[in-house]
Amino acid sequence: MRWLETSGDDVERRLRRALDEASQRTGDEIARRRIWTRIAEPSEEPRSPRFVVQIAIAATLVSAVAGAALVWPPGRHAVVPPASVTERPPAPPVAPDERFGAPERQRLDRPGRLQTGPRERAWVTLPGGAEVDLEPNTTLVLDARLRAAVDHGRVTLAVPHQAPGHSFTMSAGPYVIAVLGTRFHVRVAGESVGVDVEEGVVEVRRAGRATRVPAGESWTSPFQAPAVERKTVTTTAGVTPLVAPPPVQVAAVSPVAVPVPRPSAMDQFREAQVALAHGHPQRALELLEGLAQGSGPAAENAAYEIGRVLRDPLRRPRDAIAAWNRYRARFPRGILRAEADISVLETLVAQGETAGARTEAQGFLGRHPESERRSEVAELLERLR
Amino acid sequence: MRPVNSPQSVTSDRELVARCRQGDTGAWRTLYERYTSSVHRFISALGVPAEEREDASQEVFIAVYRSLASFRGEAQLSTWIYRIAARHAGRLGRRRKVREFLGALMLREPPPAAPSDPAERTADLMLLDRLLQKMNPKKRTVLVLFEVEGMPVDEIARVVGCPENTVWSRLHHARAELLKLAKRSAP
Repeated sequence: MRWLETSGDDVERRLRRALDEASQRTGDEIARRRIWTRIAEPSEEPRSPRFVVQIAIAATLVSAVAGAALVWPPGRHAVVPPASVTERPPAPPVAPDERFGAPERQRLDRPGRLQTGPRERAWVTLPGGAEVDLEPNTTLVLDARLRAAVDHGRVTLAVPHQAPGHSFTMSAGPYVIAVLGTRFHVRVAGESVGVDVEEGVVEVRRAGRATRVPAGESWTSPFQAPAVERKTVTTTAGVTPLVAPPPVQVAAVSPVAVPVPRPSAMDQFREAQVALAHGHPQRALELLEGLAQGSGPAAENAAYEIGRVLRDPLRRPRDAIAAWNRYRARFPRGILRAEADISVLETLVAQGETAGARTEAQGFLGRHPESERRSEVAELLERLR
Repeated sequence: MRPVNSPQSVTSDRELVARCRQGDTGAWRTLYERYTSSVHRFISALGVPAEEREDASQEVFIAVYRSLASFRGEAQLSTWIYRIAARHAGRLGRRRKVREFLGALMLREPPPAAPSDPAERTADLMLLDRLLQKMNPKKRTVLVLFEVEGMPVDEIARVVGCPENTVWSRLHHARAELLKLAKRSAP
């Protein structure tokens, strides 16, 4: 009989139920597939030529949108066909019914392009039920497979919960945004893409890598100049507002540099993590090296992390060991000392440097007699003998 | 992990490892698919937050792949993978503590609660995860292996690297601790 199985106590029964539920947990199918794409070939993924092509396509689309905006009469927004569809006449403009204060949603179920003018907004529903609010000066494209892409501007999406194993995806520049059911905003300005999540979790993917953005947090594509914040009005998913949102005043982007406060050590560390997550280990290394030159716990943490970046994404194990040795010389009683010792040991083992690994393992056992890793290291030392 | 306790599957695991060592991608994929759910479930129960689980699973399998050459087949493949996963989850836990410590030093707001996966989480499971996170890591690992993974005590002893009597002792204390935490958190 299993523990708590026949208990009469409500708390105990709940606990047993939760343990049973935990034993049935399988994880997200999409995540499983994504992990497989990353580990199928364990070598570092090179920057694919497709990346360049995508940027070129994005730039072409942005140019096409800009050209279309010049030709199209001001004060109107309309569905226009993408470049590949030449004969389809434009659909009638979306007209929110202001008499009743509720925006009327147009259902987009064919390939096309929806574009709002400088002081206009549009409200549409995509195949699958996702509701999209377009801010002024925004272009949304539905491709031949009815997948949505934000070419430029800002949209707010409310995505209904997706069936198990399915996710709603859309693209913004070179990024793919995947959600299971949530509410979020997407900003696209040139090659800069931003995502602000209100509810649920959104995943931003590019070139086989992904970043998860939880509710209440924002994500911006790395290494772009900070965009001027735009004031926007958004509606709540599934609820019709009593008053139609007024036209939005978009802040003019000034060519004068906006003073940006000096980032904190934690922000710099986070930026390094983002750079790593997006496949820019060299940039992450630069940031960490800058941080390590400082003092305090942030510098210590960065000094340790430099070794990890050198060893794993940059595949420079000898430099990694040198970095951890620098860490150990500088922080002989550091909070990450045991981690650094283990990292050096693991790297030496992986490199086949048995003698060095043996010395490291003996040193570890001497330095960390109380460590919970002791039995593991002792076992390794036995194997190395 | 659970499906591989029969001798037949142990044999096929060995075959898989042998084929993986020869660079057979198909075998590597089979091995991944066979164990990915178990790794996810195990690291989830060991307190790896939802937003880190994907990366953690990936790192566990990369560690498995890199270490396949050193797998001597003395233990079941599942035992060996659990050891790697437990070690990795422990390391992530320590890093998380360092981050929280750094955050506290810099007077930063604590990070928001881990986002839940709406597809799988119920109130009971969320409560269990919270309680498990409060437990001593050594006791938690034993409890999770026994109560969630259904692993026999002798195998748990091999995963955590201690005598079977110690496993029984940790399990006893872990159950008491979990029950105490659950009752304390009950309305």
